[in-house]
This record gives sequence, C-alpha cells and structure tokens, in this order.
Amino acid sequence: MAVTVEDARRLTVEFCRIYPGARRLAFKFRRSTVELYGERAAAVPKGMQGGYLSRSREHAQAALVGRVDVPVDNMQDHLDFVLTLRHEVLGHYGANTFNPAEKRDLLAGIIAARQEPTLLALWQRVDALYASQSELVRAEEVFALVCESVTPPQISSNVVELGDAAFRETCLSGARLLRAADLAAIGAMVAHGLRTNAREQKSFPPHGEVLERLEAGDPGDELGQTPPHVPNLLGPGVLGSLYAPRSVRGVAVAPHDDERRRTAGPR
Amino acid sequence: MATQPLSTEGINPHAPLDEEPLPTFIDDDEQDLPDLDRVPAHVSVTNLRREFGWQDGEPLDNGIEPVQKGS
Repeated sequence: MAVTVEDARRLTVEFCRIYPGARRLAFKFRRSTVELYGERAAAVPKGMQGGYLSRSREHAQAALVGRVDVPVDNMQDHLDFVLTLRHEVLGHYGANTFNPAEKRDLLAGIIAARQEPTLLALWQRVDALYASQSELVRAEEVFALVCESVTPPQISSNVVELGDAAFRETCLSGARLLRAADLAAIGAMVAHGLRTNAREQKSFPPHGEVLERLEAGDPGDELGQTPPHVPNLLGPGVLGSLYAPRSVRGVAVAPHDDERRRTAGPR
Repeated sequence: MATQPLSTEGINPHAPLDEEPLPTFIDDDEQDLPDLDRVPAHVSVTNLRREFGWQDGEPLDNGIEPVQKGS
C-alpha cells in the first residue's frame, strides 16, 4: 500500500501523540529525494528511507532542534513509515538526548559488542551499507535499527530502570558485553523519555563532514562537544582514540578490519 | 469492506487534531529551517523488517538473521 504525504502527516501526528518529545523536530515529507533536495538529491541514495538533521548548539534553545526527512514513495506501507520514524526519532534524535560523554559511552559500548552474537548480523549489514562511514556513525546506525523494535507496549513503568541498568552494566562499567536486548532496553528508556518529555537534546553534532573531522583528530565534535583537553593519542589520520575498542571482561576486542585499513595509511 | 486502520501504534489516529499541538511540517521550502537547507550527512536505507524479516513487536533477545534475497 502506497504511502502518501498526507498519510505520513497523519501517522506523524499519531506518533507525536505517543512521543510528544518528537514535536521538537520538524518533519519534511515529499514524494522523492528529488522533491526533497532538488539537484542535491544526487548526494543521497535514491532508495533513501529517511534522514535526520540536527541543528547546531547555537540553536539549542530554539523551538525546533532538528528535522526528519522522508521520501514517501520509498515506503512500502504504513509500517515502513512508522519504522522510519522510530529509526530517525527514537534512534538518531534519541542518541542526541544523551549528553556527549554518555553518547560516547553508548557508541563505544556498541562498537565493543560488534562481535556479540545477538548484534553480529546487525553489525555486518551496517558495515556493508555504511562502508564509507566511521565506526561511530555505524554504531549509531546499529542503535537506530534496534530502536525500530521499540513499540509503545514495551514502554512499561520500569523501563527507565531497566534501560539505565543495561546502559550502566554494558556501556559505563563495561562489566559485560552489550546484547541486542540491552540495546532495545536502552532504546525503550529513550522512548519513555520522549513520551514523558523527560529527555531533550543534549548533544549537538555540528554540520559538515564528520569523517574528515574525525580523521583530522577531532573525535569530540561528532558527539556535539569539542574536548580541547583530550588529545588524540594516536595522532592525525587515526579515528577517535576515545573510541578505541575497549576491554570487556578482560578480553580485548580487536579493531574492526575496516578500521585497521583506515588507520593503516592515507585515505 | 472494512477500512484499514491507519494506525500502527495502537492509538486512535482519528482523534480530533485541534486538541493538541501539531508537529511542524515543512510544506514550503521557503519556510524550512535556514541552517538545515542541506542533505543529511547519513541516511537510513533499510529497516529491520526489510533486512531481517523482523515482525513488529518481536523481541531481539536472540538476535536476528538477514533475509536471504534473490536465491
């Protein structure tokens, strides 16, 4: 069943009833990427399902802190559209409701768990689909994909406790590897915060090409912070030393092959 | 023929719209947020259902396996 722009608007109204925090975003729906971006459409895949843009820190107090774009002709049906909203709003915008240090820990936890059996297939697809993107961008995509599985009935009264416990055990203390269910619990915690308006954007990734900046040795900006006091211990040309795979339960997690290739020499 | 509900989130989509603030829709490019006059740095190109045959509401506790395409 095709999805029209009007369908998309009504579904978004409904989505925002469930997640009032999503009203902090603007929504731009058109039939195609060409209608969305004009001659700049060549910069995105024709099959693009959705996109999320964050405004910069200077707009932190603005009524609208970002925008979700959807070319509705690329939706198979209404569920496809709702999954896209969950992906962009709960996933990408939701990731920015962690403060920069928390977001860094979340993404580092996801990266450390790239071989974890319940996340392995997701990571493999994200690696294939986002081969040119940084580990951080890919980790956020893993989170956003998992957030598609968060449904309103899962947002129970103890969801904050469950999500917070999962976040602390897997991302903050590194006591154990993150599993898909942990990530879903963290996603549900974020969804609860957008439902109750308890969460708002705390990280403000700036505009521009993230990968180039990271490879220039400025990993903090992608997370919406600039840490002048944090040196890139590995030097220019090396992706975020802050995000080097961590040791979990005393077992060092090997860098991903793509990261090895990127760090081995010039681009 | 029964009308297929628009909702997929279990909420009545036909509730009056004037009882609540509406989301902001950018209908006219002239009204777009000026600093967001650009394409997203990265975009979503698939979803759990398309890629993994995942069913809405299905838990991810045991992980998911990719859909075999074009056998």
